[in-house]
Amino acid sequence: MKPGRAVLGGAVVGYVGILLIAPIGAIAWSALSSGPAAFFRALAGSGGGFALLLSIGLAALAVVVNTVFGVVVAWVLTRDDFRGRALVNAAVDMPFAISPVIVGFALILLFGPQGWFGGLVRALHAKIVFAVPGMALATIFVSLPFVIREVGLVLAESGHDQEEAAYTLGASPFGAFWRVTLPNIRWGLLYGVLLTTARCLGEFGAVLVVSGGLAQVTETGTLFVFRSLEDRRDLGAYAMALALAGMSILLIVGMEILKRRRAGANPRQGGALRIA
Amino acid sequence: MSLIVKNLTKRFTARGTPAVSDVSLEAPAGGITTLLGPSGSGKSTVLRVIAGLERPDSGQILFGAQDVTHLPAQHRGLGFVFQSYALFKHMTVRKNIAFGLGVRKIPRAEAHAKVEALLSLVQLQGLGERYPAQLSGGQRQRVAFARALAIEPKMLLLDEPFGALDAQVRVELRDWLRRFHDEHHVTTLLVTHDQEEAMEVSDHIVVMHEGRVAQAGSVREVYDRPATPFVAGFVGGANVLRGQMVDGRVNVGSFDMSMPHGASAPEGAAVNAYVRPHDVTLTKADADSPEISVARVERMAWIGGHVKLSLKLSDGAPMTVEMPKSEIEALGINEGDLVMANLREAKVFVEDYSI
Amino acid sequence: MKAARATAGALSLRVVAVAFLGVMVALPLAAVVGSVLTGPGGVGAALHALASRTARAALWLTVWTAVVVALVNAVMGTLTAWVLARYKFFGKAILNAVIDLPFAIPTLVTGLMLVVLYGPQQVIGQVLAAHGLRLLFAPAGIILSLLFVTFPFVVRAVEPVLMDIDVDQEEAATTLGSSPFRTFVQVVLPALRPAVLTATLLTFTRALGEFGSVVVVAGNIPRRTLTAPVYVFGAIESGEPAAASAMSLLLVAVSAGLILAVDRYTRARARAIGVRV
Repeated sequence: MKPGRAVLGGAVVGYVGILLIAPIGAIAWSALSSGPAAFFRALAGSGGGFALLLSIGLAALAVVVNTVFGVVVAWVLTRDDFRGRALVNAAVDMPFAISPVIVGFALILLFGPQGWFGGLVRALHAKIVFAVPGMALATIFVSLPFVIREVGLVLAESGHDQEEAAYTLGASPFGAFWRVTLPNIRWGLLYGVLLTTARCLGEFGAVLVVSGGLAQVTETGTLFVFRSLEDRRDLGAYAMALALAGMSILLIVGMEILKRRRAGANPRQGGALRIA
Repeated sequence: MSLIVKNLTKRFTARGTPAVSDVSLEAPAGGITTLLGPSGSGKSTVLRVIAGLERPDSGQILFGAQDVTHLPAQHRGLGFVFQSYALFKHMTVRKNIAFGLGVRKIPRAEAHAKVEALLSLVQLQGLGERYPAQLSGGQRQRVAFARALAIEPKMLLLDEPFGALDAQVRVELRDWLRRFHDEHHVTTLLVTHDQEEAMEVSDHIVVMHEGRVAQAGSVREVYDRPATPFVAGFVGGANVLRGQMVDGRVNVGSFDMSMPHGASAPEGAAVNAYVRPHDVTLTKADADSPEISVARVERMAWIGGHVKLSLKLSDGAPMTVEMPKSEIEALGINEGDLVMANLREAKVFVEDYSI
Repeated sequence: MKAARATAGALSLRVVAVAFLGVMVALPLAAVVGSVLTGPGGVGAALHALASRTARAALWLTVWTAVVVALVNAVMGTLTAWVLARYKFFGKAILNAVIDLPFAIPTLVTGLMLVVLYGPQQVIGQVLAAHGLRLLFAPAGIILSLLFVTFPFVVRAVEPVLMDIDVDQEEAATTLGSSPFRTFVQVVLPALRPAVLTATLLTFTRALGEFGSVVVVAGNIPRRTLTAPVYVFGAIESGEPAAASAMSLLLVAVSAGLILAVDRYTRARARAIGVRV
């Protein structure tokens, strides 16, 4: 390798190493330095197990909702043309723009006791804010764009030709979607699902505001970490943090595999995420 | 400036056949030399090695007396025109053409004058401020030419320059290239798979096949005296008639020929006769015609001033014949007629050598 | 799609899409806007809240750290994309995967990792402190966590553009005598400009709203290390809805405005090169 290249390559690797890898190493060390037994105790104790399960459950819900509606929105954005499409497009990007605490705040403004729908919520004897439903809404909001963007990308690239061929051969719109479109978008879809999951597991600011932070009831993995820090149960915080980071890394590995599959299916290179 | 390539070998994979294998060629100074061959013959690779865009595994490249084998592409002073034009998309036509001048730090006024002259040369005056996306394919390619010529290159390397263009535009640019060359005599190396283009434009042809040089020579030499069956079939197109030596004569299906003076081949040896479509004369068959010589006209295509006839010979083999329209009309031949074919000339190959 | 049937089907899909986005996106945004307009004291109270020294300092801190991060990312992100796209080396796949980590790791965990790595009790922290550098509870820490969290944006936006660039153009420049550096600056960089621009703006927007990592790392000292999102959080917790609404609306307006601008620009460019968007 020519010297200039070595310097540039080294600089980049060094930057990435210091910025990204070192912190992860640090947390792994902190969490595991007291041994695996202590790690698991800290993780499971004080509601950690419940917190993890709640995080996973909320993520699963958000994935389902955002996948079903996301595919519809992606289809409408790429295959349809109507006035206001640009607005719809911009709306999809909004969750990226809004700080998570503001998301939580908005939900309180909508469904809190004095909120726009406060009366309605009370009348229905439902609990939205300071309860799991509110957290679900928050999680759905922040992870909304991923499936839409990834599926949209794939739909735009593969073009409408194959579907049109299916129509001429007698397939119904839904049949063509199921048998032609879906197989085409499946890797992009899966990739979007993984991104969604990662985002949901990592959500903090919005659920912090919207939940009541009640252990074993409305506490997610990230909230558990926060509370552990406040209660000076450092090992608990590190342990959960490592668990969450570990899950993220697994998701990343899955994403990298899918990136290759997706690049193979469509002649496009690189793991371009439009934004995330 | 003349070009000499000696024993060039380049492989892209560790195993399997090399892309280019022991290729040697010469391009005379001031002429147009064409590297002609099908896809995968290695012609583009040879060109790119000459340009310095690829490094050879072994061999030498000489510009005149200078060995440039290890000189970086940046310093070779060649003009390269790509099939995809490779214009700088975000620069205007003017800026594209002036790019090489900027590298050489030519003063602004002088560069401007040069660019204007080049725009006239390629007949794109007035389009200097346009962007490549706003030009047609033929216009873009002309900008690519102008850009390469701006640096007053020692040699022009053209990598299938007309391949991406419409047929009509291709013909026009071909003519333009020939006229330009007649005026300016820049040593030019052209790579193409279009044998018609090669024959029309070249002073010297190098036919390539599977990474090696199959034959090199003037256009007439390569066409009239193909050295290998591949060259016979590729350059100019030919009918292939298969048969064997019988009684000292070449016997290929419906035809029977004597050997050329002084040539000989063993009895029973397998032979292939290559016959150009226009080296066949036809006459209408009648009741007296020997059955073996009679062929049926299956299809006739009237292409401009000549006619392309698809014949079925008595032994079932197909044959393509091309004749001027006037002759066909004089003979009164129509589809479905029975005709007699006479071979004016054939190139016969016995196994690996030619007679 | 076949004419008659399609219109009904397409229409219902449109309705579903718009309804979903309307409920999930438009409604919360409207709530924030509404809370300022219809809150006690209305717009006046909101402006008053924003005028407080704490609020102004928070805004300023948030903006300038976001600018720094956006600029650093523009450079480092482009270089990283270049290395990824053009170089081959052992471990490249790992580098590739590592770059995506900030997308997946919870921001809170990011903050925690930085505390664990650079905290005053750690070796590194003490070394830095000896040189007068405080990472934690200082703007430097905010910048560091923002750099972590926004790192992939520019890289992933530039990477596909780099890979799409016809190597032809770079080869043409070389045959015309251009050095590798000149080729990069005059031929490659201009082609990357739109992607770098939009990604940098998005980095800025993202940094503006970052909460999870900052709240752990910065110490949230008012007027020193208190950023705007943390200010909002504080206002909600301490029951100052007017302040929370005001700051929220401001942040939303700026971010949303930037997103809309980026969207517009992207679509205009796509139209210019003939891609349907």
